[in-house]
Parts: sequence; C-alpha cells; structure tokens
Amino acid sequence: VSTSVLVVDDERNIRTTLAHVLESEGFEVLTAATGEQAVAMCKRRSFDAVLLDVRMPGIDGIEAFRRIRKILSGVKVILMSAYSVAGVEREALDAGVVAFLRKPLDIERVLDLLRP
Amino acid sequence: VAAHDARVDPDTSEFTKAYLDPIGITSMLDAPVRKEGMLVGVVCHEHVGHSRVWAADEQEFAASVADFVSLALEAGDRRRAEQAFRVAQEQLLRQQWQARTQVESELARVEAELVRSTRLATIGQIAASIAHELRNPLAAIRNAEYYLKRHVPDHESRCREHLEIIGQEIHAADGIIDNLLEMTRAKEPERRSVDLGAAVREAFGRVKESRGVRLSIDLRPDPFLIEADPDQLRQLLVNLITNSAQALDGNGEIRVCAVVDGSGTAISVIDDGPGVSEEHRDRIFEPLYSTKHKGTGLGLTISSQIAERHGWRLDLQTVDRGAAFRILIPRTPTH
Repeated sequence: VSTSVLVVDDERNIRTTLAHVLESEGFEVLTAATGEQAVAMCKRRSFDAVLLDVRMPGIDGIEAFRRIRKILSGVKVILMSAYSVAGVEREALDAGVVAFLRKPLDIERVLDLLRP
Repeated sequence: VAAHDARVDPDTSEFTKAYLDPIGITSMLDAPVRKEGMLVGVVCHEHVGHSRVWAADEQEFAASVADFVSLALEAGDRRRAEQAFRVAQEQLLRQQWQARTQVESELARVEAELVRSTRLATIGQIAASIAHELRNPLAAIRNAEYYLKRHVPDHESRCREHLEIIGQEIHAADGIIDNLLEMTRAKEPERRSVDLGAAVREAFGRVKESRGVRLSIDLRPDPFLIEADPDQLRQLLVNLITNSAQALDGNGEIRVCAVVDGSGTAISVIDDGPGVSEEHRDRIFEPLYSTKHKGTGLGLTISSQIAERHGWRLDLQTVDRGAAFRILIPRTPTH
C-alpha cells in the first residue's frame, strides 16, 4: 500500500507540480486549495502525511494543522512557506510539525521526510 | 626738575658722585613722561661745562618734548591694543567659522545617513515582499524541473541540457532572493572566536567564480582569531571574494592579509584586477548600485551593513593596480 499524501496550497501550479513529482515517486496524492478544504478531506479519509502551505486565504496553514491534528492524530505534517518567520517556525515545530520547509522546496528532503 | 647746579641741587645731588662728576655734568633739566597719569619715564637734558641757568622757554620746551613722548607712547600702546583686538577678533571669527563648518558638515553627514537609511528601509520593505512573492513561482518551477529531470530520457541531450540551465538559474534566483532578504534582516551578530584564515578558505571555496584564481593568505599569527558572527563573516568574505573573482575573470590572484596596530586590525582583500574606477568609488556601497551588468548592487551594501553591525568599517583603498577592500576592526579595550 502506497503512502498517502495531501498537498495543500492555494497556488495551482505548486499543487500540480508537487502532486506529479510525488506520484511519480510512488505516493498516492490528493490536493486541496484551502485549509478549510484540507480539513474537510481529513474528516472523510485518512492520510499518512500532509504538505501544508502556511500563507493561504481563509485559515492559514498553522490553523489547518491544529484542526487536522485533532482529526488525524498520527498524521505527519510538513509546513512549507515562502516566508521565513522565526517565531512561527519555532511555534509550529513545538506544536509537533515534522518540518518547516522554505520554498522553493528541496524535493529530496521532502521525499526523505515522507518515506516511512 | 630744573637743576641749575645739579651737583648741589637737592633733587639731583644724590647722583653727583656716581654719575654727574665722572661725566662732568653740571646742570640738568628733567621733564616727566606720563602714561595715563602714571610716571613712566623722564626726558633728561644734561649740560656739561660751566653750570647754567635753564631759561623759562627752555623749561617749557623740555616739558613739551616730554609731553610729546608721552603722547607717542600712549599712541603706540593704543595701536598695539587695537592690533591685539583685531587679532583676537579674527581668531574668534575663524573659530566661529570652523565651528560652523564642522556643524554644517556633521549635519550634512547625518542627513545623508538618514536619507541612506530611509532609502534602505524603503528598499528593504519592497525587496522583502518581492523576494517572498518570487519564491512561490520559483517553487513551482523547481518542482516542474525536478519532475522533468526524472522523466526526460537521457538521449534527449538538448532537453537535459536545458533542464540543467533551468536548475542553475533557479539556484541563482534563489541566491538573489536570499541576498535581498539578508539585507532587510538586521540580525545582531552572535560573536564567537573565528579563525580568519579558515573562514577565508571556506568562503573562497563557495565562490564559483573563483575557479582559476589563486588565493594567497598572509595572516600572522596563524590561526588568526577574530571575534565575529561566523555566518555573517562568511557572507562578508564571500561577497568580497566574489567581487574580486569576477573582476579577475578566472585569471589572477586574491590576497588576504592583516595589519594589527594600536588602533586595531585592518584586514585587506586585494586583487590584481582592473580596479574600481574613480567615478564608481564613492557609490559602490550604495544599495542597488552596480558596476556589473549582472550585479544586483547588494553585495557591498550587505557587506558594509555586516561590518557596521559588528562595529567595524568597510572601505575601499586606493591602490595602483586592482582593488583593495579593507575591514577595519577597532581595538576593543581590554579590562
């Protein structure tokens, strides 16, 4: 059974390209364009990992992470952001995020983090 | 005093033995010289031979001569006083002028600094938001590049070459964004003891333009230790070495040396390239000012900011050949 990943980003091109990369590496990938949509999907089914953009319209990645964590307690969450804000990063890691990655992503690193 | 017979006159007889007799003076006519009412001297008329009687007009004449001398003395004093006054006045004016020039130049310096920092702050804010915004499209491009690299077959050599170029340019763009953000992020240095020679070698290794360029390090004692934030020092050195290496264009030498004296340490990064021309010299530290067609105009701005944050100063030395950038580290008082 392949590892399932939910890719959440409001930028369509990032969602598409990242999904294709992960699929070609053997992951099962679904995408969501907002935090709310991602939370709703997590209510319907389980994921092994969630790749979450931090800055999105509506609820941001941090808030989406909190809500998803309540639904899927064991899920691996990786935050990704074009913005580096030291305080937010620390807070997220303390709250149990696996990694806080800067965009553009180092894809090898993402793959390492996602592999079980 | 009109002494007809000076040798016996009560006013002058005390001089008879010591002065009058040896010279043969018999009669004396003395008139006082006064300055501002005070007796300051005497005009003496001395007669040799038979003693004589001083006529009234002679006595008047003597008094007039003395008065004339008095007036001349007073006039001399006044002239000297006036001259002293003029000198003092000129000196005061000169001092005032110097003080004013000093205040004006200080004011101009502060104003320029304010303009510079305001400009930097504005540029910084714009740069930061642009830089951040650019990371999203760059992220999509990098994902796509990764995907294509995985799927374009090896025999498609041109396609693979193009993918390689895309990868390199993403890396370059990412570097520019990092630089822009670094400029806006005034991080306080976390000082540690750093081996300068090792830091220079590491920085040199990171500069890809340094290929073909010789590096000579002349630092004594070895290790040459300085107190600096290792990351910020590395960036400063990378920036200076990049500039030098680009100027040398793969052919020449970069020399790093240090001079320690009572005022502190001066570290120089010297190359034997074409140097910095006169017209650029004053402006190369300004943000967004570049002499290179591919430059962002941020390297030296960031470098001098790093230096400033450490309490150092970065300047460009005038040399016969090439360029010499100097990091001036003032001596810190030891307690």
